[in-house]
Amino acid sequence: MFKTLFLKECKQILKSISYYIFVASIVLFFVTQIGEFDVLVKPQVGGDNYGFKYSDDEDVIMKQSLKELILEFDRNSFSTYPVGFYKEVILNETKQEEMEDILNILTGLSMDEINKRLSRYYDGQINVMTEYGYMMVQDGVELDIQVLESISYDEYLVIMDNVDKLIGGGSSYHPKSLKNIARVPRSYEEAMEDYNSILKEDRVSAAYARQFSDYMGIVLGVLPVFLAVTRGLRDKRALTAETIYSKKASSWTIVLTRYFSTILMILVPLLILSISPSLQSLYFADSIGVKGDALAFVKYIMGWLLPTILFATSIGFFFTELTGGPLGILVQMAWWIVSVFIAGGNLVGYVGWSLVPRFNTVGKYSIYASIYDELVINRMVYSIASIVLLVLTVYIYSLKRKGVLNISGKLLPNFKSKSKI
Amino acid sequence: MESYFQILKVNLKFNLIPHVLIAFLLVLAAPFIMGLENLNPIQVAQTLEVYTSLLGIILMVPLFTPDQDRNIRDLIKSKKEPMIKIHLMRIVEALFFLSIIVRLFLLNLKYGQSEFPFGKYFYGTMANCIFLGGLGVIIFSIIDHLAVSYMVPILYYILNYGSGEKLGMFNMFSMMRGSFIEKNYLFSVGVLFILAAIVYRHKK
Repeated sequence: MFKTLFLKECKQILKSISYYIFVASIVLFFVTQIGEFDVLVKPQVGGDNYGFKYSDDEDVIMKQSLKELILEFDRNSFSTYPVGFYKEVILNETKQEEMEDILNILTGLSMDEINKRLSRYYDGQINVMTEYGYMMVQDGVELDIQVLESISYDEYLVIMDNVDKLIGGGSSYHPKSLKNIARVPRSYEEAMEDYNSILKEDRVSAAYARQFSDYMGIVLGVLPVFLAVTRGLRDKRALTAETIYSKKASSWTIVLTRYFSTILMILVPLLILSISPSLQSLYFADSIGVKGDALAFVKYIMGWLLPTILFATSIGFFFTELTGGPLGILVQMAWWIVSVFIAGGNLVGYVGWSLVPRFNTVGKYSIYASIYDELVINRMVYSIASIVLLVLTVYIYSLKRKGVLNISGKLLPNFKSKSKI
Repeated sequence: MESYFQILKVNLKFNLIPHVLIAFLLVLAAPFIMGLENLNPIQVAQTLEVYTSLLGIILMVPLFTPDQDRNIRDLIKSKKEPMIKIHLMRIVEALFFLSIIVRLFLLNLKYGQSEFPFGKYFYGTMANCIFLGGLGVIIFSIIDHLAVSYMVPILYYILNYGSGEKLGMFNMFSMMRGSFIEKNYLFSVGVLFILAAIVYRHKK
């Protein structure tokens, strides 16, 4: 029974216009966004730029974040990301005075002295032509303001938490975000370490599979809901809901075959799309003497992208069964918007509670290793939530079959009609 | 006149009200998702184009859902009031609520000390909403498929992220670059989509 229904559902999906729009969309997105294959370049000795890394050194974190705070305070313009969207905060006079007190506690300097040292810092800037046009660049003069030695790192974090609250939250000074300010240049050895980890840990192909998952996650965070809603509304459109209710197949069989056929039909074009970058990464790995992982893309699709697909599909099935309308689309749209924007400017290694974890680069294995546990928890939570929603969908469907819920989706109409009698 | 009022009332009660509520909830949720205070004109434009534009899809796409069933459509056609008039009144009602909700959003931004030209930004936001909503409405009118009629405008919206510049005069995110000329195209084509959708539905 299950197999027959499953195959029927797959055939139904193949007849659906929304499925072809879905396939065209992911192909278009793949071609326009991923496009050319970025070849990994081995760092060369004597290079002038090996990229950046985030420092764990408490002194560096304190020094860099204090400098950033003073510069932003001087401009009275603080960059924040309350829930992903950029927001410039401008402090009123009372809050500026409170901030002056905090700077005084941190540095032991009066505002006059801070301003004098700031002027010396600005005087040390020169205007130079760079590849991005003319830019103000520091000519060897550092900002001569430090955190008092008597302030420990833990005390500094508490004060910075207050700074973040004063600004209104979501700033770079929140204790959890503070590390992101402490960007320091990488050395040749560190750049080589990252390169070697791509060869050894990622076996090259996994580094490309992560970038593939990052891009495709964006569209797969919303598109599956349309297929789910299409399926959910098909019985209503075809006026066959009551007929199917009366069949002997269990509610579990009916809902699960619909659900898993939708998932399979989403995975098929995705796996086909991954063949080309997968072969390219294997060929490239071979050219630099590494045996690539032939199943890397499949593993990332199943581990990284599948929970996103499951969740978007479950939302569609659940809300369509519950309301008989397209509410699932609106709910998933809202979830998707928040997930995409919550990362703000952090496109490499943002996970949090986002449905769409970001890793928009090839390589950076050390960042991947640092977010791995968070990523696994995130993916598991979304997978479990998808299963819970699916079970609830089956429950609602079985209630409808028993006549407890109205076919148009209005809750408990039978009780209402009984009271009228 | 009384029959017009009755049409608007029934449409609001049985079709539009959940969509108005969802649109209103999205506006209420906005301060929790993004900053709405002390924004400069570019940041205001970003908020409006990226977030508020989606309200058009929510409020306008369900234009034909009450008579999606062929039998109901035939029944309405047999009535005194022409169906084209009923659809026009429904879309005017949706646009009325849309303009109120967008205005409330803009007033909230003004209240938060953000700086921007109110009228110009209102027009720009409405143009985006009408274009996306109109796109969904015309798709619904032609293929009669609710999920696809939501899907196409959302895909167009996503397309603006990666390839906005390539869309030329139909780039929805132009206001955040300080350009308004695109809004005239979006508004005009959006209105055309709606009118064509209603006429086609009438002839169908």
